[in-house]
Amino acid sequence: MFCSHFFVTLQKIMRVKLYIIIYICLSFLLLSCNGKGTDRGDEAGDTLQFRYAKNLTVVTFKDRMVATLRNPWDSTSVLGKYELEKPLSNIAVFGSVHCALFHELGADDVVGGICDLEFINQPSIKKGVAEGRIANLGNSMQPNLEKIVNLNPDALMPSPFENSGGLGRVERLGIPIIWCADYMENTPLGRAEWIRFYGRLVGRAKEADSIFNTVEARYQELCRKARNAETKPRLLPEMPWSGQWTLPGSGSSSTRLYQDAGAEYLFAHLKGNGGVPLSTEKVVDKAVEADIWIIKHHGNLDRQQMISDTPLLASIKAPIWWCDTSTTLLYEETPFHPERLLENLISILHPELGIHSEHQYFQQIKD
Amino acid sequence: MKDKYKLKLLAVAMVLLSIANVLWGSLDIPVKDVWQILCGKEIDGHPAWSIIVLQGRIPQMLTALFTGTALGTCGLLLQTAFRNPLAGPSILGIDAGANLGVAIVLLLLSGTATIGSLTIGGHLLVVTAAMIGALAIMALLMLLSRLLRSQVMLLITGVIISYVTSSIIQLLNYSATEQGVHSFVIWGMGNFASVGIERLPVFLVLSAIGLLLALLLIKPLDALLLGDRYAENLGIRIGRVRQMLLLVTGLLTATTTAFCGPIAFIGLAVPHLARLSLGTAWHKTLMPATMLIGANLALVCNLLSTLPRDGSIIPISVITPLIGAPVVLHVILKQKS
Repeated sequence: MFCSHFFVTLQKIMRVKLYIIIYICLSFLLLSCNGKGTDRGDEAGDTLQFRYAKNLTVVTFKDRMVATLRNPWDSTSVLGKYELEKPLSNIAVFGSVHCALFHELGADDVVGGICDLEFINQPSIKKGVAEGRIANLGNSMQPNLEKIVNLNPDALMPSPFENSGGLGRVERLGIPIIWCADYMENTPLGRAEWIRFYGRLVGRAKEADSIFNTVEARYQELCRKARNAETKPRLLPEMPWSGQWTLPGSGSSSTRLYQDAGAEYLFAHLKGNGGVPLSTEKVVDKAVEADIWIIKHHGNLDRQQMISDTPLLASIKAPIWWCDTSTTLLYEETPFHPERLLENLISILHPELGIHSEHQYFQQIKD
Repeated sequence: MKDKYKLKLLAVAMVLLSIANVLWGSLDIPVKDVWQILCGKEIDGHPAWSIIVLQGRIPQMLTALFTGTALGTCGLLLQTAFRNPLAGPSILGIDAGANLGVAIVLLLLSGTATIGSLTIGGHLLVVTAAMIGALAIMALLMLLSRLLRSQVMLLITGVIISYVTSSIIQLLNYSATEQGVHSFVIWGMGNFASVGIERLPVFLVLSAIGLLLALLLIKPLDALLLGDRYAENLGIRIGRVRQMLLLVTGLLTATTTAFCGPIAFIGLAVPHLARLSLGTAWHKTLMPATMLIGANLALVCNLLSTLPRDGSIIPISVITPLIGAPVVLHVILKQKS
């Protein structure tokens, strides 16, 4: 009786020991991988350190690069994982922003096809399409399947949006889809840092790192200057349309930009990472305190017309600075060059700092 | 006597709802302060409040009141003329014309139009485009009504026009900018806040002309209820009445859609509510009741649109079917039981 009890106890102790040994072995294994990504078990890679971008992981190995894009709408899932053995040389680009980016990287020739040609201002792209070197793939929401098959690109680069349902039949072609979720980063430098990922896709890692380092250095320098400014003007952005005034939420990239420019954003308390629609009445009540009003608008704008459209705006006396998005390159340039927009904003908000902006996106409306 | 009592009750409700629309908004302004503002006084520390009440809430209340009245009246005129309970302001494609005008401006021209040295944009351009679009379709329908002898054919023509315009709008949407599509979608949700104090007189005058002309149609409409031949026997010139009817509904639909965007359901539901609550088909009482119920419903919807207390608003076209449909169903079920 005693003997059998002794053996059972011994067996239990042995089992526990075995578990402890397995646990220690696993811990060693995991710790040895810390900071390094491996994709083929025994091979160690270098993880590229992103300082601002939150939705990207890039691990480079001797012979390849592995990139993982986090799903910005669901942190528990992955938007895409890509393994790249050689730089891409034939890409179908879906947006003007990324066309401009490849141009800056000196990689115009990698653009084999584009969507939404009517919104692209890049002369090299327009010329390429006219000469037949670059395929016009039609609308980015519903690209031309036959033309994509004919182009046979190394990858497609569309911009994702929440619950879009993907690209339908295009996804079944077997062509890798690199989702350009850069716009979902919630800081201006976070989005700009994606240039390092895009640069590596086309074999321009050095150029991309160099561009981003310059962007970052200038952005941080401007931030420091704005922080040291004596005043903190109260800022009101955008304007109402059809009874609604959509303002950036506290977690949005625009809010961060306004704060970096040394402004006190009047609606910094609004919850959300994107635009928050409010009634004009609610906004106007607070907007009367604004020192500066900045508006992005397609086409001309004047205060009288704005007041005719929405009489409540008469109570806002702040000077208006307006960016005509139909004539400036705001949307093409600033996603990957936020320092240019920051510079322009600081020159408006803090003229006392004497910062001259080479890129004048905004101009003051004469009252 | 009973109908008169009901009409008086509706009129009292309209007055109370109008007052509520001035007192209540998405911003909490104390009632005593609203009263002070109405008496011409400024509120210390709140410079925007007097503009919000005088130039925001009052024009918005009047816009809601007249839009509800106009759309309800349109629905009644069309349901009687076509003897179709599903007829409403959208059935003839006039609001589709307004939609097309706005779509061209927002999706194709990106909200700005230049004619010679004149450049216009903003809400003024939207109103102009919507008005032109709606009046063009109305003119086309009036022309066709001379050629088409059957009212059913005219109705079918209206439906076809709606399909054609919506396919053009889809095409424009397909190749428009994100900003353009967003602006068009927001406009399409309708709102009573777009008519500022400057444009309010134009809106009110156009709506009032349409409503007065509608009142002149009460007798011919009653005659039409008895059938075309009977009406002709009574000396009613059917062709002329139809033209007049198109003119009135066209003017009212064009005005309301141009200034407020498409407002769904009121035109369809209100005449039914009026018929069911009064129990009569005669326009002498039915039309004033329709006007009052339309105004009341629009005022209620305007109040409900400001219900979220976080400062956001619910689009009008989301509320109108949500409020209108259960009310109609309730009235129908009550009648049956």
